[in-house]
Amino acid sequence: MDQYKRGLFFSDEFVGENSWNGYERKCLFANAGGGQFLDVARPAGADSIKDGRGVAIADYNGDGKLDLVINNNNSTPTVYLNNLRRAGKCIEMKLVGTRSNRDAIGARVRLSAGGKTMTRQVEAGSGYASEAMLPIHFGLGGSAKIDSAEIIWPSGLTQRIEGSRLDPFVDRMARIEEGSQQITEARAARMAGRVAASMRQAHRGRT
Amino acid sequence: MTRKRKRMVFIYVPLITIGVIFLAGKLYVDRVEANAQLLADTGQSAIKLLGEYKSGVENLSVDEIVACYDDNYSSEAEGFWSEELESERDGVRVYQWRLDGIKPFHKADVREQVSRYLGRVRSIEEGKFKLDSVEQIPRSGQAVIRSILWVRGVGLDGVPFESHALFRQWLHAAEGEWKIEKQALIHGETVTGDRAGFTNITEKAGITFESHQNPTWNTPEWLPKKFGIIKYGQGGVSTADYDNDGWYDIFFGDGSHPRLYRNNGDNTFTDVTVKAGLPAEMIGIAVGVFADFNNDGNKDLFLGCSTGPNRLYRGNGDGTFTDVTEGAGLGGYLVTVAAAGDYDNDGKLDVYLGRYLDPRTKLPTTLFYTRNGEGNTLLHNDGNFHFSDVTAKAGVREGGLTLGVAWGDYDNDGYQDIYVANDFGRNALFHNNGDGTFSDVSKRTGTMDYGYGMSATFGDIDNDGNLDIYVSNVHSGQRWYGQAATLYQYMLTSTRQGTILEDLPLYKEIYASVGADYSSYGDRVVKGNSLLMNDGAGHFTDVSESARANPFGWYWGSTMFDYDNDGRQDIYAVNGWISGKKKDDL
Repeated sequence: MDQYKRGLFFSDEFVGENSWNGYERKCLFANAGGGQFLDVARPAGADSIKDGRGVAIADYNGDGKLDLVINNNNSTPTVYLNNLRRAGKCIEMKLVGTRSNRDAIGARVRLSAGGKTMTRQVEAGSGYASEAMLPIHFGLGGSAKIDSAEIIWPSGLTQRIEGSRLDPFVDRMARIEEGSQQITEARAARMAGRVAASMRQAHRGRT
Repeated sequence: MTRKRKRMVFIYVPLITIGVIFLAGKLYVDRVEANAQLLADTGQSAIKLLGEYKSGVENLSVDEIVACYDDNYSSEAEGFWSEELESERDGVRVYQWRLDGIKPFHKADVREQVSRYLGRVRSIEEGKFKLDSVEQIPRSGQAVIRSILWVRGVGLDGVPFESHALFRQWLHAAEGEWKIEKQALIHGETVTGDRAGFTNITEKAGITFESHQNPTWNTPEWLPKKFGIIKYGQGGVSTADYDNDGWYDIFFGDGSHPRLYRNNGDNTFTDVTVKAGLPAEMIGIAVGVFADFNNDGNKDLFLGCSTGPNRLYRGNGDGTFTDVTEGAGLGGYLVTVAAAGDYDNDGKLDVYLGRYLDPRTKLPTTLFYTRNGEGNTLLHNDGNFHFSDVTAKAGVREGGLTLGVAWGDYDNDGYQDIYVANDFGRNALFHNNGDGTFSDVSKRTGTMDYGYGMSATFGDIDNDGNLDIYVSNVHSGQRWYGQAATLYQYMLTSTRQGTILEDLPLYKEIYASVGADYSSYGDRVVKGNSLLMNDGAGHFTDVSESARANPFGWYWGSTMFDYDNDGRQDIYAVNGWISGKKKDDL
């Protein structure tokens, strides 16, 4: 304690073989609304005990539910696949800038659905040395209908999109180009890749 | 004037004056130290008592727990802890603690209370009972504390559970034995579930990466003994579709062997580091940022390095990268974090680098309001993979020891602002003025968080259209010690470190920013994570405590995401500092 007080806790010897806030359980704070959060990491099965550092979010299997990856100090990482059985519907959006930077980093989308207006931004890097997937993700709860969306591009352009034009992309990823009225499936390449993979597999099966 | 008189005026009087000032100063210092010592001793006693309680919980022993209570325990109105179902979804049940059968409580009632709670438990996996704060020391041997009980186990129904409860407890010492003489539940909750929401697929997915310490920290040049703990900070993680196949890949920063894993699209990943044209070994890569710096539709990769130069790789669009570091102008060493954003909306992505401190030449001064870091860097993208350091012109040289940077337009004016979380040093919000300069608006906006900032994220938590901020900090369970660490104590520490003269202006700054509260500065430093809610009118309020998004722990990365697709941003926060051979905390 004296070392702590005198600011000597930078040194390696201070720690020795002890733990120092070690073996802690990761937290998943579920937003219960009304300004309340509940840590449900244990019941949800996302409570790794390793010394976590960076954490990034992405939809790794394209099922519309966000997964997690954690880089742990002095250990192997943790990849948590999200298997929630009764998660709501969602829409993912990959924005492509033309006048704005091509990654559309800094773009904000306001999406109205199910009585809520949600705001999400495109960002490349946040948290601790971490970067989530660039496409933004909106949970829609039980609602499969989108009222409208508004994209505020870094160039200053505000683009309004009717909900009916987004509805076909519920539970999928829409590709939206700056200023363009055309919305396409962002995972076209992925679909092609999947077909190729299944063909390869079929080929292997034959030989 | 006689010689005798002269000697009197010019020698004895000054000597006596100096002596008196010295004695007064010493008395004052002693008093500061004595108060701190009393708090420290009280804190230690409380921690010991809570530790005995915790052992009782882990042993499922009502007797051991009840032994922590005074025979004359008395509470005017208390009840039995009951759990009321609040919500149920996807196999997760949330119960709020309510008090049943409220009446005056005595020790026998406490026994009943504890028996009923433990009666629902089949087994305990782990318990913690942490001292949150020492609220009052009415006199030596008496204390009012706040404490947090955290229990995880399996219920009689075979379902895993976790309980968190916050108490206020009145303690007193009789013949050296500290006991609880009164207690009040502030709030408590229990969550249960089948643990099926998330599956750890790391091994099955073929990810064999294991993080390494940066070997450079252990070389004599980097004085590992002086600032040894710096080497436990590794490392970041990034996700991007680097090869444009529609699947999101993973990059792990590392001390010596950063790795790029390609997502095969079937829940498996393959290490493609070398295949993608990245070196098999790279020392001190703290962070990787994938962004399209030349707007050609391919992800490029910026690598921030701690003990060497930063690197830049151009994405070739065929799943490979080419090193374009040479002459790119990527800023200095000691980078911990980085994020890309277009601060001048010229359509080209710039980079803001968070940096730490060079342990070869210094240690953090003032311990917690540190300004002697390397200074963060803003790199302007000039095109053609060339960057210019515009930090000074932009006014964003933040000198704390940075562990988190985030871009976000908090005031919806169309320009991206920057939030900086500092480990040693207070946090800072830089407002983008739209003319290539930024203003430090931390104090005005209420975002000058004092904790040991470990990460920061922007996101709209309450769907009001304004970006809020979540900052991870340290809430170490030793908060009581932070309380002991007053501004005066910090000054004493600075004196002992021999840095008091250079630190004095900073103490003035601390005093100016926290005003009359300065004496509890230490308490603010270790109060834990902050959830800063943006009111849309340029002001943020920290609601982490009422939002219950601030349990004890040593937090690192944190992020906002909607894990259950209900339209509300949830928060994931990872923690854990050093898990040593011995499981017990320092």
